[in-house]
Amino acid sequence: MRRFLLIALFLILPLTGRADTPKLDYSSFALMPVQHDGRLKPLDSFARDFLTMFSGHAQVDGMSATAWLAEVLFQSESAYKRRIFNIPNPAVQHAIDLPEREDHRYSFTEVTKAMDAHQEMIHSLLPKQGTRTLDPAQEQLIALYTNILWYFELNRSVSLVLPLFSVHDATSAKAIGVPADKFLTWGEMMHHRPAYLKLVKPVLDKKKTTERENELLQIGLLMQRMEIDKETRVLRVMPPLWGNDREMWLSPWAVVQEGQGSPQSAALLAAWNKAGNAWRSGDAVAWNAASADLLKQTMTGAQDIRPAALKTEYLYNRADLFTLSLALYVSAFLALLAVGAGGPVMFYRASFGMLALGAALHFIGLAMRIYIMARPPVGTLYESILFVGLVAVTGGLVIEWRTRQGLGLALGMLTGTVLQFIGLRYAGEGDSMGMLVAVLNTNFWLATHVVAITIAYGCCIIAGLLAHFWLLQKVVTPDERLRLELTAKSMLGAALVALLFAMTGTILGGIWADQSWGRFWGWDPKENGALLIVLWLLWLLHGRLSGMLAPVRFALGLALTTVVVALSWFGVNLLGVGLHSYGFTSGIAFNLGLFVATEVAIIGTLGLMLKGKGAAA
Amino acid sequence: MARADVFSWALLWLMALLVAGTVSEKSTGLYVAQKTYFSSALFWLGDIVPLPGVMLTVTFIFAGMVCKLALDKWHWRDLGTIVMHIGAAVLLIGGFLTAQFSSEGSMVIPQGESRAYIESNDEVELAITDQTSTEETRFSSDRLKRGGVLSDAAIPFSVETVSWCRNCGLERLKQPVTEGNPHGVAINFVLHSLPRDPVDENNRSGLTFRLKNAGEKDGLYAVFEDMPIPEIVEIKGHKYVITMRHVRTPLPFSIRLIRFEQTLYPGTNKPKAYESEVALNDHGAQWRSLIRMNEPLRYKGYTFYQASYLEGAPQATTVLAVVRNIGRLFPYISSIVICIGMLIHLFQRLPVILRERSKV
Repeated sequence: MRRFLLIALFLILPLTGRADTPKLDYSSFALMPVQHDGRLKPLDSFARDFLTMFSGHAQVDGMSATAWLAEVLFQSESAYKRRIFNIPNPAVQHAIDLPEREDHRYSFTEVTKAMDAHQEMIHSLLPKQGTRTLDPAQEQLIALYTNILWYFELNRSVSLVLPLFSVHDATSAKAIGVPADKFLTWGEMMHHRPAYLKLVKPVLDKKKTTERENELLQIGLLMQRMEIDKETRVLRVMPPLWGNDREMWLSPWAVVQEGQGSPQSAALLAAWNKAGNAWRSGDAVAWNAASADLLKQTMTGAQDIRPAALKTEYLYNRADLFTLSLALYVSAFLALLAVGAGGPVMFYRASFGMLALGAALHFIGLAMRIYIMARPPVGTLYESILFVGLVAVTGGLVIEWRTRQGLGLALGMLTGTVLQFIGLRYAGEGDSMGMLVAVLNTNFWLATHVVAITIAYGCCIIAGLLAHFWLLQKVVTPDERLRLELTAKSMLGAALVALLFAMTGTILGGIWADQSWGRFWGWDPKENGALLIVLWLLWLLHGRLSGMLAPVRFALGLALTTVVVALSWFGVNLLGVGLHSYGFTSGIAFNLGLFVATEVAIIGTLGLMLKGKGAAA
Repeated sequence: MARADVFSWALLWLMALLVAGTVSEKSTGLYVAQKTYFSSALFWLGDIVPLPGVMLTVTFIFAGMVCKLALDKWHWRDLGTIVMHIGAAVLLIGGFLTAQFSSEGSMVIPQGESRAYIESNDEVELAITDQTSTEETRFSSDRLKRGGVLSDAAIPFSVETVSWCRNCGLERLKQPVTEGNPHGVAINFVLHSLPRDPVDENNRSGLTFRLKNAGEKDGLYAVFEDMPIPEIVEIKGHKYVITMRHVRTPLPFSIRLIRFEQTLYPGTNKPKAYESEVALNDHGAQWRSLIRMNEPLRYKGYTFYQASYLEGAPQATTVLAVVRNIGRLFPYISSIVICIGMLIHLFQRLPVILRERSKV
């Protein structure tokens, strides 16, 4: 809380510089390596993580995240006024007396002032954070408070290289030993600290001060306030040059604070100073040269860096392939609808083409992630959604290629669209490409067990949806024997492939567990979920092959596989016990319940309709 | 038994058990749910209706499978399917052996110290150690639960249980106890039973008892797990330490922790890796080993895994999980057999599939 008071003090500080934002080239600055969340990422990703955390979006006022971060670092005056904090809950707005606004967006200055006025309330909530005793709105207020602290830490990260000090009075300047009216950095000012202290000492106890003395006091105030900047550690952009921990990158202030200064780091700080000055002056030519030089110097000083991976990640951020693929899936769906409505055959081809292109972009997106993180594609729940989506779309394409009935297309689009949509909704929560906890930090098992299981999920979804289609065809067009038989064949094939992968994945999981914990099976909820899928498919297929389950009952059971998969995939995470209880769970329970209820209702209705027709055996 | 509908119902029941057991894990914890549903032959629904547990159901399915394989007339073309089912049977046999004969526990070793026993994860015992002769007398929690008087030739006194709790709360009394000649903790505190916590480590077992035939040391005592000051009774020059602890099983060798290390991802609090460097001493034969996440130490049928570590302990302290499982190899064998079965099946079916293709 004491720290917060200091932040609030900053708001009344006179700041120098311009208020408008220049149009500058950020391509070099965006590629600057930053160590964050345990890995090196381009500054662009770093900026996106924070901007998304504050505002819910990766852009603001038409600025890229990188441009926004540059403003936050180099130009507090305009940055503080930019409305980037998204506070959608009216209860939170009211609690700290923020004005109601349609876009729920507030600036750093507004939020800080509002919080400053309600310190006591915030103070009373802080100790209860994370104890599950707080109301959601209270938790949101605490989250906002944390965001403000993060923002401030970002904002002060490079203050040591910014020209924040100046002495206007010629006599004072001469006494301190600096040129009058020239802007100086903290470092430059520190050289003259003894002279300044000598000068200011007699002024300190005075009740009434002259303008000249007042300026001296202001300089002291700024020095004092910058003491807190020394603690900033979030912007780790300085490569480790020596010391014990060669993996740990440092923030600019940490280099000065922790005695890591060296000719190289001094040169790098000078490059930051140049870039900061260029940005503040709005000189595009100077900025482009300075930021390119800054990038070059950082890269030369760093070891174990993968420049190509940084570039790939920057491209990945900009291309936004998953949104593109979602758009293509939806377009393919519309084209297929046009075919259904009697449109020309060209639409069918277009639909096929768009689905295939969507899948290709989806695949490229995943491939880029694999390259960036140097690990298999699935390590988190979010990533499993991306991967299962691709498996399902590919399955749809394969079925379409073989049957040419439009069925595979419909299937691919439906699963592609729904899963990609869910994925994008949760991207904010799960997509900073974080590092995996120790036990998951093994590429071999991630590549085998996890991939096999997620492929099984995808195949189960395809088999389940095919069963839906088969039942629908049976109700609507029961006389088209050939089409029914074709669907039935695809359905059985998909179920067999699903069983193969589910079984392989489950056994591989057991072997991983045996290798890692000494037990093949531990009745962990996620293990049980996988086993449930295996048993369910075994039951259905044995019933089908032995003739115990008539085709309609088999199809009804297979249609319910989607429910079994949903429960095993997301449901067990809600239990919150065991080794696999990773990933986000907020809001899942309701959506999951809704999905299960809808599926049961649809399948139940189809079953009853078929029974009414006397088709069920 | 080999009939398809019997198998079908058994499988449905198995799925129902799986769902019930998994859901109950949230409220009762992994261990209790496992004991109730998964490793039990029978369990009781509302204490009245006996229902078959996973163990019995799987045994039933296994028997059905064996009957089917043995009794049916088979044709060569079914070879792949038969081999696959033999593989599944091997998996079930392995599971049975593991459930019956495997044992697991853990070892908590502070840096620089040595241990030669495994501690059970859930079973507790009362141990009375003669400090002079280092001889140990142990009473299982079953005997404590039953109550009555416990005695042994190795100890000159007997222990009468007053109350035993698997998870105890410690309550400070307003007035010290005066009756029944209380000693140690029992003077100012009383143990009371709490509901069992789903997380094993959060349970603290304890015993309130009366010491008899100990002369002037007779009286009321209380002990619980990890007591800061152990209860020591001195009789005729012998010091007896009375402790509640997790059941200890001796190892035929000892393990010393040389070093434990936790690595974090740079600039975060997220663990990247854990490792324990240990020295094993088997009757003078020495062996050095590095135990890491996903890289256990295997020695003479025992496997030691990096499971955890003690946070905030004065010394770096590692927690190793120890497992002895004779059914370990079965899943591997089973996987290979099932794969062979699938390949045979595929090769047998290939001509048929190709013929259909060419027809289309």
